[in-house]
Amino acid sequence: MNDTLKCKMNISSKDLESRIVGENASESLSAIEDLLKLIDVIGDEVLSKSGPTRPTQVEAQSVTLALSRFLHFSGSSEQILGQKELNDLKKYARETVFPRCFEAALKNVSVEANNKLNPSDKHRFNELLFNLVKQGPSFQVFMVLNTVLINSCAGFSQMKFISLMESFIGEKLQSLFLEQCLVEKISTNKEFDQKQNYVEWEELISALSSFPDRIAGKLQNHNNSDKFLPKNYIELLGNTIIIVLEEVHGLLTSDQDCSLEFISRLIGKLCLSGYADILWSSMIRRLCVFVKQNYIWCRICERIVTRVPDKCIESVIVPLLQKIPWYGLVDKFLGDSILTNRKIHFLLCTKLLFHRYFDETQLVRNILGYLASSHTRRMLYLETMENLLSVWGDGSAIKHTSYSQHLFISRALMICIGYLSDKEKSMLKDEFLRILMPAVQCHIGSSDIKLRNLGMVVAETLTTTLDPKGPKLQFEFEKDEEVYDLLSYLEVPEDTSTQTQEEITRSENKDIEQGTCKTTHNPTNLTDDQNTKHNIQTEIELDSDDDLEPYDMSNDVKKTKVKNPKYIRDCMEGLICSDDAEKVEACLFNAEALIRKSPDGLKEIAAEFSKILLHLQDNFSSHGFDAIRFGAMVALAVECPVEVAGYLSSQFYERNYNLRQRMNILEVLSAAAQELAKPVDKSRVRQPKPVEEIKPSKESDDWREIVEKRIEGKTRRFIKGRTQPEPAQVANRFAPVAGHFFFPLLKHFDRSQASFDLLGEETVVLRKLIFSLGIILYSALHAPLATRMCVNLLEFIWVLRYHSDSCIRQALLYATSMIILVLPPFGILTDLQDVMLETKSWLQETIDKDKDTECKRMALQALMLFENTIQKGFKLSLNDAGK
Amino acid sequence: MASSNSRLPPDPLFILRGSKSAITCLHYENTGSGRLFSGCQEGEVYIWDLKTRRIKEMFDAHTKSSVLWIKSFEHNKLITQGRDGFIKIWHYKNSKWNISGMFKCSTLVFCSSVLFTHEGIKYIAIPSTTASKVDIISVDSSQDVVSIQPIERKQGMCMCLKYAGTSNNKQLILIGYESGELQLWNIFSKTLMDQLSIFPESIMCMDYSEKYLKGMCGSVSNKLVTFKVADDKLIMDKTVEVVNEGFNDITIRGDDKLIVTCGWDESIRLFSLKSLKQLAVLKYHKESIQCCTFTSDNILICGSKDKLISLWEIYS
Repeated sequence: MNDTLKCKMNISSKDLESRIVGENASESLSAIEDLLKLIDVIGDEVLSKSGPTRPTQVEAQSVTLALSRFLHFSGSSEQILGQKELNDLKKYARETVFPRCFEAALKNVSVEANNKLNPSDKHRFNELLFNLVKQGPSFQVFMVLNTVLINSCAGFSQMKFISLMESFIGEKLQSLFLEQCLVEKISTNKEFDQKQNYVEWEELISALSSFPDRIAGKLQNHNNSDKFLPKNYIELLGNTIIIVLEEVHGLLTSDQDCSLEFISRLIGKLCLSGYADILWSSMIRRLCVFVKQNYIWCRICERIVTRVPDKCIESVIVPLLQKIPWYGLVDKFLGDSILTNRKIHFLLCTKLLFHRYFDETQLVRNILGYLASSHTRRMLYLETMENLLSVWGDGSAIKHTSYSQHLFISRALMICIGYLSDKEKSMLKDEFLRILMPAVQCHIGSSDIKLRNLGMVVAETLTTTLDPKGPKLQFEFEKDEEVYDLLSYLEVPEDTSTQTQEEITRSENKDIEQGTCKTTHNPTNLTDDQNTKHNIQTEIELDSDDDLEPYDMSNDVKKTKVKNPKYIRDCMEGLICSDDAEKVEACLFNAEALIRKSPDGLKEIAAEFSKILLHLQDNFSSHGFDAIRFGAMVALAVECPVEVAGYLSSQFYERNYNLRQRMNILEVLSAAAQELAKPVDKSRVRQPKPVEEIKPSKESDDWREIVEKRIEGKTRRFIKGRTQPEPAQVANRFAPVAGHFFFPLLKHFDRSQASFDLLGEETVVLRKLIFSLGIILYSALHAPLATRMCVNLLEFIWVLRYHSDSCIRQALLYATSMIILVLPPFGILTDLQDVMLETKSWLQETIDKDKDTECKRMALQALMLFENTIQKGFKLSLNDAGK
Repeated sequence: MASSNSRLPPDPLFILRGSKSAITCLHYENTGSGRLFSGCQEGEVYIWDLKTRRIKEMFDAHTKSSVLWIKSFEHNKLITQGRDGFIKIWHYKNSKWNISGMFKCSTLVFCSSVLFTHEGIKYIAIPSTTASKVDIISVDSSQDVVSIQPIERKQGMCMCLKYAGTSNNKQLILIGYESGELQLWNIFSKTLMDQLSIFPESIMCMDYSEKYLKGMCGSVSNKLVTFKVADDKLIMDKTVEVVNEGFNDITIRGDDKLIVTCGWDESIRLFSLKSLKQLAVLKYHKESIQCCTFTSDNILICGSKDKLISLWEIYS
């Protein structure tokens, strides 16, 4: 545009602007009207772009005329404008004149200005504003409105702007987006225009994406419109994008060029701002239907997904992959971009599978299905699978990643197995088995039962799949829910969604209808319910009509041939030397009850009896054998703590015991310690009530007594004092014997034997030992020995604190918590200060550095306990000082 | 319901003591005489007066062989079956029980015979000396009328017999065999109507209600199986499992409401015939219960190996 023309336009637009802002109300209104008419003539950008390239004489004339009329654009009315000039002029009017004037018009919105207007003018002004929003070039309208709204202050004008914005968002977004998609054919300076475009888009997109946040910040809760809430706003954007895409699709099929770059950038930005879930949820169902329709739709989707700016690609693709319902559709959205785009390749093959993990599995199903579903990507799939397998089987990876991540990798592996073809199986068999074997060993050697199960399931499946005829791995494991879950990943999912466009709209409508109809349906349902209830009742009545009432059936017991033992020695004998299943069972089942009676002479045989029980084998697979034996052993240890605990704890480090027996010893000791520590009023339970002499009741002769009785009879008492007697004090049964339970267990933990190496392979026992020590220590709360026990246990923990197995560390943390609970606060502050401070720094280190989440949690808990105790200790010492 | 469940089962109404050996069979005479017949392992028959609850009479019917079955008929007439292989018909004359007839039957089985009337003629069905064969004998003429025998002889011995009444002019009889098979026969045409394998073991006892066309079988296991007869066909119905194994006798009460089972586990179990719900477990005897019957006023009478006869008043 030549400078003179520009200058003229500038002057005349200023004139219009000043007319709009001017004091004279009617003048201002007519100025706005002029502006509207001008827009009318200049036309929307969409029209001008898709319109005929060569303007007719008439159009040129009408534009000039309009300019001269509405802008008082003088001087060049005779001169007929050329093609380029005309376009430039229009553009200038749109991009410079309109925003300035529109902003000026919006400035007029205020209470004072409104008061000056008479009612009809008010109405007209309002209407004009809405028309400006509707007819003005949408880009400029949005930018101006957005700025004005953000800068507005609460009040009349703000309300107005909100309603203007609402109407814009409701009606004009579509054309705003569509405008950006149309390619300007006539532009001569392509590169410059492109850049110009990018700057504009950048501005528009950031305004669009930040709008809900900024508006919420501005308006706070009370004034905000529902339409501006992120969920509604983003959904609206999503729906608008869909509509625009449909139009673009129409244009493309009629051979017109469109650019999807704007849409792609917009989606990228929205996803980056954290709206990805809402956005894709609003679009994915329709898009999935579209991509099945034809090839053009696939291209459109591929474009908008893969052409997002690099920095947004992860935030776009991850939620999209989580939302796509079937892996076969992933191809339509991503095309073969993984082969060309390094970033996508890294994201799908490495980052999402190995660096991150997800609880829900649609994402990993989609990724692996996508990789496996085309011959072009098949190599990638095999490569990924091998990577997965080697990471899955890597010993240090297993140790240093959390269980959830490992589960995620296992699932991915199972999905991979499902896609293997026969040819690949035979090709890869050797390689995979080579990786698999040490991996299985790593898993089975783990102390976590869940990890072991994972290893067994995956290994079993992999070997059977790779070589159905060859030798197989077979494990015994419980088929629980997790196992079935894992196995379910083997199946290649079928496409289940066969919805068409119409069905989606119908179902959406239905959703809305249901919301309204629910209340009306209820009454009929209710009567149905009542009817059925009535029917059932009558049926029951009919049935019970002649039925005879049953008696108590508790006397219906299993007949046994052997008599239950009555004496403890009989019971012992029956357990030792009997091949008679029924006799052994009868003895076993009655053992606990007999012991609990605490007969005389139990002490002499208690150790002997616990030896028998410890060595007893479940030869007859009796029902509930373990629990019953355990109960009997605990009963023994409770009745005769010194003898039994002494015996059991001395046996713990002996040779020739199996794991089961050692675990048993620990379990019995901790259960007995807990039971002993519980206050039980034994004397009261056992002693029968003394017999009272029944005195013959005789009328008392004393008049005083009679009067008192009468008064008592007529007195109402509201409170009778304490209804329950104070709990009786009972001596702690555990305190005197705690040492027998505790110290022997710490004796030889570092002595390694050929059969029993506590610090080596027997992590299961070590874990149990630490837990048991913790429990026993806690049972000894308030016992005089407790501090001594704490010191010893702390030393023990100190040695093991960097154990490589996470479950040992968990047990240690548990024991630490127990120490903190048991130690008297002043003990922490005085004698044990050094050790406890060291422990504290260890806890902090664990919180910061440990790989295991459970360890972290427990360390945090222990640390909190520690802080609490110290605070309590300080308070106490302050109180003491105060006294 | 909770209150009813806490109801304890009753104790026996009375115990009849005096039998010299284990009680093997019981028969209550329904004529209003109030007489109870009991047979025992040593071959004696005791006649008890339930009004005085004392032994009225006693005579040696099958010396040293247990009495399997006693049935009184007409006036002062009695049939007894012993394990000595004889069915004896007794007549009370001159204050003494005299033998008026005798038939040969199997010595090996514990199967009791059954008495029924057809067109005014009394017949008894007895386990024959040949295994798995049943002879029908007319009581008055002492003649062998019909013999029923399955064609394949896999069934083993007859374990129990039950007359199943008339249906479409057919006289039906149910026979339970050692093989666990139950067969339904038309007596006089000697045709097998249907057969049903009920247990893998032998059928130890059985009773049948003509009113509901429904019966129950017991075996050595802890299962009780009911069957139905419809259109001359046997249909397996339900299986009830109880705590202990082994049954000696099953009796359905005269009013077709109650089933009583006599178990090896010294307990008497009561079931509702209709729902097969277990109603009560009665315990008194020290040894297995061998037989049971009901009086006309629904007093339950049970005989046990411990030589005692217990009377129970329950659901009467």
